[in-house]
Amino acid sequence: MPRLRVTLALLVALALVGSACGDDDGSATLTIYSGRSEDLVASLIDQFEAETGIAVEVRYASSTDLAATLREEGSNSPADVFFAQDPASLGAVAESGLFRALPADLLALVPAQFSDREGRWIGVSGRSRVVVYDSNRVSPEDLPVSVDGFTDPAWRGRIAIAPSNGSFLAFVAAMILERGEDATRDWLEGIAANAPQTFSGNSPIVAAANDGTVEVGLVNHYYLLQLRAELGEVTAANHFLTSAGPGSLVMPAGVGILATADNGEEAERFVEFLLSRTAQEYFVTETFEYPVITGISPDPSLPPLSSLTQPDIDLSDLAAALDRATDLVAEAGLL
Amino acid sequence: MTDAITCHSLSKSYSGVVALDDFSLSAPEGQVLGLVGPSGSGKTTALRLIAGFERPDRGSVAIVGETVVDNNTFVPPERRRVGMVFQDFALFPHMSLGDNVAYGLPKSAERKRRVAEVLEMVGLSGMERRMPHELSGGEQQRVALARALAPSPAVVLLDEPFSNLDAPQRERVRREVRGILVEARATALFVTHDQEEALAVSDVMAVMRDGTVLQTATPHDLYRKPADRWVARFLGEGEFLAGTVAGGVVDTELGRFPVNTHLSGPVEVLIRPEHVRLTEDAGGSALVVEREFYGHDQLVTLHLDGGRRLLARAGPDVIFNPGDHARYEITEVVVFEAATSLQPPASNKSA
Amino acid sequence: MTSAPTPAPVETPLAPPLPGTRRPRPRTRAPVWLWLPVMIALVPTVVPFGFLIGRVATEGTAAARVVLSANTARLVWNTSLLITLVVAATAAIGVAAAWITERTDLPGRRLWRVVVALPLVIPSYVIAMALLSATGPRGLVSDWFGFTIPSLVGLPGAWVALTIATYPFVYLTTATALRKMDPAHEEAARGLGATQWRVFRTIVVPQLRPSLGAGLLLVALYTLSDFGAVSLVRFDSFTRVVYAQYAGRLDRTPAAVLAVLLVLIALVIVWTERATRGRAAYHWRPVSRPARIARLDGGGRVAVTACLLLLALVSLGLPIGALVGWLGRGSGAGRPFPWGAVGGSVAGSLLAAGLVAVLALPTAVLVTRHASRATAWAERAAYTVFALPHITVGLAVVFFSARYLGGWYQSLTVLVLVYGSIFFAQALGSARSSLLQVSPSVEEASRSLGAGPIRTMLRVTAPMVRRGLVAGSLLVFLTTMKELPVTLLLRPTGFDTLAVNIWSAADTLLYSRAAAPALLLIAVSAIPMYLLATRER
Repeated sequence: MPRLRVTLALLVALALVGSACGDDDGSATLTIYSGRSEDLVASLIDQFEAETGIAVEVRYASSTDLAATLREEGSNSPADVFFAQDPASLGAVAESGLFRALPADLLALVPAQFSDREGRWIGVSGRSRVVVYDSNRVSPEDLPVSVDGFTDPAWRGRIAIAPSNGSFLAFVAAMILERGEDATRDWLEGIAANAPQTFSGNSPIVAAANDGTVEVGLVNHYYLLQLRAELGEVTAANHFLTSAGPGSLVMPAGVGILATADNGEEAERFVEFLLSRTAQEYFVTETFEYPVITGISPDPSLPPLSSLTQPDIDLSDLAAALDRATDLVAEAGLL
Repeated sequence: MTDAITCHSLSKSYSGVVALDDFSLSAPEGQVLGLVGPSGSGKTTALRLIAGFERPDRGSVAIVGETVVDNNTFVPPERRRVGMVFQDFALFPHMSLGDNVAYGLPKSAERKRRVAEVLEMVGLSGMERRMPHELSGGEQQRVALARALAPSPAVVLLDEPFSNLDAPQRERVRREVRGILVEARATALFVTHDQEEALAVSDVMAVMRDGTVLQTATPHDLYRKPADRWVARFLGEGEFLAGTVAGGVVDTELGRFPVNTHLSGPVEVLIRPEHVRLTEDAGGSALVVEREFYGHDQLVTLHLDGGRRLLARAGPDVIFNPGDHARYEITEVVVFEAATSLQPPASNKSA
Repeated sequence: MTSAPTPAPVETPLAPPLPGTRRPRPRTRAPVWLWLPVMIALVPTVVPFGFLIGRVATEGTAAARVVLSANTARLVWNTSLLITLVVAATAAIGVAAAWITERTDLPGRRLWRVVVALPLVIPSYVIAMALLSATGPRGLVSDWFGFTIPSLVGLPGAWVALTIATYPFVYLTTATALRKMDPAHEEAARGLGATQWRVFRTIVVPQLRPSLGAGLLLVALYTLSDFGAVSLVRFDSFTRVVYAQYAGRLDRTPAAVLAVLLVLIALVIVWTERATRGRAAYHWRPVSRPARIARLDGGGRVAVTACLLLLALVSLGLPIGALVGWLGRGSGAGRPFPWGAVGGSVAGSLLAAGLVAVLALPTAVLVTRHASRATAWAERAAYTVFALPHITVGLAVVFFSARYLGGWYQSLTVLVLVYGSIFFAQALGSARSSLLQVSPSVEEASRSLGAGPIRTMLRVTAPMVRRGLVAGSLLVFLTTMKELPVTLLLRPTGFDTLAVNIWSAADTLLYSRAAAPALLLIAVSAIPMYLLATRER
């Protein structure tokens, strides 16, 4: 009996010490903080591992969560790369001075509007804001031409949003940049007055629209295509808003390399990989996003990028408005 | 003969309540010392201080000449060579008898032999494999003793060792335990509230009250010559009278008796029932009011002329019934200083 | 609190004198090193909380703004409403079920006793997930039976899920109380002409009140603290919003402020429970004869059995049926089973159980053999930590470790230490109860025979309290397996558990992916539950 207890105590101590040591061992392991969900990017990262032989450890959480975490961790952060869903989260980390400048040759691969002005982060795939709707209950003619239409009381109880999601907050930040705080506040209060269902992410909204649980939702375009690929056919559909405004915002998902990264070289190779044909084709065929490098076409069912009218803002400024965006969303009672 | 245990001016309080007050005691080597006193007198506290389970506020303890506690020193219990037998025996229930007894012995070739040796000493030979719950109370008592004796401690402490036994067992086990202690030539200090037990088992007795020792002497001397009225009362029955001493004789209302004392003038006189001889006599001046029959003797309460009460012990052969008359004769008395109630004599070794 | 209620450890008040001694032995001061284990148990939670409160206090006006905002008022209203509804429902179900199994002659009572208590095996988030997947236009009920139960989201969903998850607890305490009640009072009342109903109202209920009250306060605490279920049904109660604020905002102050507010409310409930528990403590005298049983006629039996069947159907049949139903459907069918999550769950739970076993024994010795005001406070701290909502513990530790712990942040070490800290009271309660049965003279005997305090603890004390230690560890293993919020916030990169896996899948409405792991989790939880239940008997 005493021997058993001593052994047990030793085992426990060993496990604790071992695990602590294990985590510090970042010698050849690339640590990625991914604001993109595991479902979407895990196999791409596996491909990277297979191609380069670099071991990768990924932490999945929401982009906003990770951005805040990176800011709290500061120089203590074990992360090498931040792979985010939206430019606002990237910008927030960049503004805190936590990114290192990316190599110019990588930055050159991507159109200017999809990267940080100062080269601290770079976009790797494009996504458009859309309205997803349940075609059984809603037809495209019923939908408003811009997001402002959803503040109409006729839409009470029929809308779904993901207020804590990075893309939504970036969208609100874009609205602030384009129209100012007061207009944004009015819009948010109008939405809140319509008692929207709130979800923690975009894909549950799309699944719910398909299920018949929600009628319309404000999401990114590619979730529906992914669902269709999985289920074969869907009753939900995407509607791209035609009028210029934040509702038609196209934002890249992107990456930045942490200034305190232990594995800077591996990190650059990862960024390089994301901009390679392999990865860009993956984004087109697996996640149904828009590619950012030249020479690759998006999924044929998507409207071409050029046809989507963009609001007149610089994506690099989104981060600055992000805090206000979050405050306004919270003040409206949605967060 | 060196003292096995020396306690000097031990004091201990718990949350303001004084348990021991200037307690001093010496236990001679090779003898059984009985520490006796009523509940709350501090005797268990004293024992625990000697064993090392508590620290005194003041004072010192030395075991076989080596100081184990004083202002600068505290030797923990596992390093004092003190064996202890607990009131509830405290045998390790998950170990066999053999393992229990062997617990305090270092691992060596000698171990098994010593275990067999002590088990034989307590009359439980060959029972090494048995488990504690299979034994009777008396047997558990003996195992506890064997376990304490096995490491050949300098001293064995026993805390109310017989109070957990049934009445019929108690006397027999008492005798056995004393026999074992004597045979082992152990120095033993045992604590009890039962003065009869102490008188029967001890070589030396110390009477305690309110945290301090009132008198230390052989049982015989304690009984015959108690230091004060309280000790006398504690140790046995008796009747107290007033008297006057002059010239080797004390004068009381019940007669004049020779005494050997340094006191003179007014004194208190104690008459033990054993020293009152009774004879049947219809015309006797004593009236029997009550009689308690014990089988081996009887305790008779008498009413004398003048209203005085007297206790007498008589043999079993002639039964004194309430209402009978008898003749009495007082053979011996003990005297104390007048109005001795709460004297704190340190260790009063009255001869 | 954790994602499913498990019997709360009971602090036993100071023990009565042991048999064989005439008065309680005065306690001795504990050696300094004996304080180390309890410190290891308390520090991982208490210190981060201190920093959290400090952080909120320094925010001053910003904090005040959050506390006084309309959002917070709405939050308090929502949470209070939910708690009231759950308490009322569990009281009604628990008392009624207890009455049926203890005071009627319904056939099959023995079986019903087990069935009624079974939902304890299912974590609350699994119940919520199962309910969501069964209801709604695309739910299982709609597919199988043609009619549609409206999707159980929001308040109704939270209400149903938490009621199912917690009513067994009320049932168990009430049933025990009914069993132990002295029937003499009821018989006296009936002799004076009172009807059954009046007897129940005026005699039984007042006697039930102390234990029922304690049970309901605990239900309130569970409801307040539950994270998994309310987040899945998307009901804005405190825990969900605290997490959403944390995950959704760059500024973490609102999350911190709300967390502290949540903790304060939890503490109020805990202190209320402690204050009322004292009166319930020593009411029971040994009962000389069993209470009067109500006889049910044929119609009554059918009605009662139907009610119990309905209860079992909703609380057991629906969740498990839904999980089984989703096993083969949808995208989950093709995916590999998340064995990594199983490994993570088992490893984490084993380490936690081992840690508390090592810490609980010396602490039990500390609080029992060396009781003092300081040890009483330490014990109280352990039980308070146990009662803290886990989402707030996770938050506090994340904030603290991100800033001050460097490489240890997000390590398995910290996670296990926090597990050990929040569940420590379970093991301590068990070990302590066992230790109280052991006379201290056995330990002193060991000391007098030359064994030092550590050797005594290992060779003498530990074997004697082994049953209590094992029971406590088993309980901790069970609760850690089901734990969600702390794991969610603190797990190392790449470390997954069944709980997190299930919840993440359910959160994105991928029920088919969650079904198999959920069933496995229930099966694994059932084993220690069964072991514990049979030991108690």
